[in-house]
Amino acid sequence: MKIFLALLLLLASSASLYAQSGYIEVTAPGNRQLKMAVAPPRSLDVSPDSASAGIASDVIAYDMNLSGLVAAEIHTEQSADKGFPPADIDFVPWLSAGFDMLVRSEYSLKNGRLTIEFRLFDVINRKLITAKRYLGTAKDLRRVSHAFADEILLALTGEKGPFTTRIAYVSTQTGNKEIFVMDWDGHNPLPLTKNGSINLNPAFSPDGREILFTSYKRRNPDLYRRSLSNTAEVAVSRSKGLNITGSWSPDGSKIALALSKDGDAEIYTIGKDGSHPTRLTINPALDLNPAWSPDGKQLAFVSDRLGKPQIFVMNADGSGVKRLTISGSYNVNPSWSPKGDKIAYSRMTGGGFNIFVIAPDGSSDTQLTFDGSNENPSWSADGRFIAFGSKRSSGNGVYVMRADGAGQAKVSHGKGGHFQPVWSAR
Amino acid sequence: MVSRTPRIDTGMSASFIASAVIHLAVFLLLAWSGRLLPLQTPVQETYYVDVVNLPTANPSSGAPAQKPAESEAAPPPPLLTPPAMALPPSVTSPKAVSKPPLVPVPHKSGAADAAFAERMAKLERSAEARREEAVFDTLRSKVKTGGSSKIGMPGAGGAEAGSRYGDYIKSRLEDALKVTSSYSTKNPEVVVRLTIAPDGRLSGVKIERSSGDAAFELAVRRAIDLASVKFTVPPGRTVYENGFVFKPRSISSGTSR
Repeated sequence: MKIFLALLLLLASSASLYAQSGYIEVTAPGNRQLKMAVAPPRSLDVSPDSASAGIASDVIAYDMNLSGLVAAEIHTEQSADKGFPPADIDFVPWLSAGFDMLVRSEYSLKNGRLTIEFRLFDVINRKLITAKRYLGTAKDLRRVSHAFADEILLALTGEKGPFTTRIAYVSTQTGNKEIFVMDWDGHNPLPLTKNGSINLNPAFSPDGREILFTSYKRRNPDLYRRSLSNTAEVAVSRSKGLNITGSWSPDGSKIALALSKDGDAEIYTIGKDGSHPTRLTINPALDLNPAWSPDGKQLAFVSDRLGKPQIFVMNADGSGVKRLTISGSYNVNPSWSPKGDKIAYSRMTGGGFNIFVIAPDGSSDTQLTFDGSNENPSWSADGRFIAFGSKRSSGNGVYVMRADGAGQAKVSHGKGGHFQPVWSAR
Repeated sequence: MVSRTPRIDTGMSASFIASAVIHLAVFLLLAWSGRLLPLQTPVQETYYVDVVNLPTANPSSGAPAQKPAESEAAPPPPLLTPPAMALPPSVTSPKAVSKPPLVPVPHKSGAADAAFAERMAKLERSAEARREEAVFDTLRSKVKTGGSSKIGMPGAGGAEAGSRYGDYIKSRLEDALKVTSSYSTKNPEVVVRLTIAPDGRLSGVKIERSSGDAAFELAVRRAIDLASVKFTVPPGRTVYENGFVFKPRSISSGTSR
């Protein structure tokens, strides 16, 4: 009884910590998703290209809707406001239509040169939140629109969005397994490899300029490094046996990978040029699929040393190995979140796989996907989203969802299969 | 060395028996005469009349029930006869000069009514004065605690809800949060420290803790923006700083301080 009373007192004291120290509680009823109106850009030219300009509002509305922070909709201008300053804007029609935010833009497209200015307004407070002007060419319109969507998230949440980043993935579009790169929303897919062989496990360098991948183009699964800006490609590891699941360290100085030159697959680290291989795991079982923690001090990896594949965590020097996943009989594809607070992975459930997240201490193991078979999770640079490959009734391909599993949307397009997505850094 | 001689106690002596007999005789004598313990004690009835709460209407013009019976009417005041010589004006009471001269009142009951009404009015004034004094005392105690004399307004310092500047700011913030409220997690909470300059301008906003719900954090920041337009100057035109814990209010929960 005394213990119960003591616990009750402890709970009460912690709950009223802020009340005791003079904090005033402010509460209000109601919860609704914020509404954002995205007005198509106005042309400042004599002969406007309104069809092209409409892309800007499409991109911003799509990005903001996937963010889950606001419900964005493209909305034609309701007033005859001519100016940009808040004083020149009649917010009343927007307010009466229930909008909280308004994105307006003006552009000029002359001789292929694009100038576009975006502004985000708070309709309720009647004030300008953020504004940006971008200069480029006509083909940059999608990119600058994504860039302003990043700025919107920065203004509203204090953290920039990932909308200008890209996703690398494996595609069978050409009949072979080639590495492709696309915008995060699936636009502008471009083949990175065209070797007609099997190419797997892409991984972006921390600066986003290079990609690691495993290719069978020389009949052995070797690890290659390829530039995104040109065709330069070098072999990083061509040891006998497997050279797979390469992963760049956060500082870009090392690469962790699985090598089977000693018989069974073991985790090694090598320099980014393939030098100084260091063996981290010494175990007769398979150890592969290393994933760096964002501080570079730990690695998560897959091992079947206990009979079935499970996720383990160890220090970057191979010490302190401990088992992370204790539920499920088949857990693979670990991916450490950019903030370091979660590890996403795939677990075999029933006949397929599903995406789960777990805290690095093994707590809060949570299932995020429930439809179809879902594998290879990869975090966006800001930790808001997870890309993954999915086979489901609504279509196979690369999907994106928010970190809590909400807002799942297929982003890859085109024929063939698309899988093993990996998200670039900013 | 002192030697003590023991005293012999004789017990129930003859003097005790004599005393008892005498006392018994006196008691019987008094009981016989009936003077010591009268059988019935006369009851003296006392009536308390709260004159302040009596009906204030003129009894003579009131309802018949309120009109006192002729037999029960108060005796008329003694008739004043004019003095043979005019008295010199009183120095100590100048008001008496302005008073109309007391003349014999031809209607006896009218004079009684006037006197009664005057007494009642005096009592009413005195009661009213006491009530006002009580209100003033309350206000004075509030001023002493640091607030202004405006109850329920910014700067007041009373203990009642709504009478402190913090409560005023809370009220403004809650009004604004009703407009901006939006959240995506179960129990979001944002702790913010606000600083309000002596001119009423919001000079500092520091988020001390957030549960990580970006939507609710945005709602809080927009609510602060919206509310700060209406902030008035802090009491005493000094810098006001306090922490505020923002939470959405569910149907089952209320506010608590």
